Amino acid sequence: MKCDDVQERLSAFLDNEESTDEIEEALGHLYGCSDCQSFFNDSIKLRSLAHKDQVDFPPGLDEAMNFRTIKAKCGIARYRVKVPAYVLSIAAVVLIALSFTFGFMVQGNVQRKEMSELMKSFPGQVVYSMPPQVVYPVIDRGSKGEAR
Amino acid sequence: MPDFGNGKEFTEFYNQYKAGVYRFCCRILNRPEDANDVVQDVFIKLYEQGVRFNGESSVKVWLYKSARNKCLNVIRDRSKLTNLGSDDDKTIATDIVSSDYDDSAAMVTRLLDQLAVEYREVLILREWNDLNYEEIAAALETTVPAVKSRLFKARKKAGEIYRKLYGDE
Ligand SMILES: [Zn+2]
Repeated sequence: MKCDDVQERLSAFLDNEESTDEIEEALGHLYGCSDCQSFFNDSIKLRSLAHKDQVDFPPGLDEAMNFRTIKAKCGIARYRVKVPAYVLSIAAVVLIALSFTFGFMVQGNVQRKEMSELMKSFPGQVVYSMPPQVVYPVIDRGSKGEAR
Repeated sequence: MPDFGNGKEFTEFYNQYKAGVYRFCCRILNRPEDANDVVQDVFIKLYEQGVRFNGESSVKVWLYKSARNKCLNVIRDRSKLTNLGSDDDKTIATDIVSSDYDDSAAMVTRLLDQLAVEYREVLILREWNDLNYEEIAAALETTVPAVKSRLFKARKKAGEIYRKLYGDE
């Protein structure tokens, strides 16, 4: 067994993350290997250093993290209504479709209205064929001869 | 499922994890004022996302994951600053912490300062914050075997640095 494999197992053993079967072989190696003993001792030393290390919590932080302050800071984000993406996409498609339909309806009405206004003063007649044709009536200006 | 609407549950989570998250940030960043900022950001984000959690363990892991990502951003920004010419940035950080703490804290600071971030984070989560491998894997977004291997390498490297700094004391 290589020292690196042994040390990886020893490291996990220190953390209670290695099974007893796996560790037995590593412990057997440990008794006869000074490199692995050094690694094991260093790891224990490091742990005791970490446990002794006091990191004092700054008292000012509690004040800054007061619930009311946080609530005020996140007020806007907190009450934002979250709408699923698929609902938003459907709504967008429906809106586009509606705007087109509405546009055509309005344009159709306007055109029809404009045409009927025009037709009042327009003596000719539109024949809705393909393509549409305008038929001009013969204008009677008093005598047959003049008209021609 | 926590809903932080009335603040009671949020305050409980804050009181339960504030010291641990602060310790993690302080040790990974080696600068208390940066740790302060990160801890505030993390808990404000927790409040905003409160309703999306499923139980306490997911909150714990989320807090460390979020803290770790923010710390990495701070470290990245610092290295950009250093590259831009502010060479004394790192030295100042170490000096502030060393003068503020007793000898063992100064030892820790110097040791962690020389350890690569990928080893520092895993070591702190394990030795300073007592997270198990599964929690560490979730916080670092990796697998349990990867955590096992990285911890071994981190310990080995930390041992070497310790000897280099303080001999066999
Ligand atoms: Zn060995």
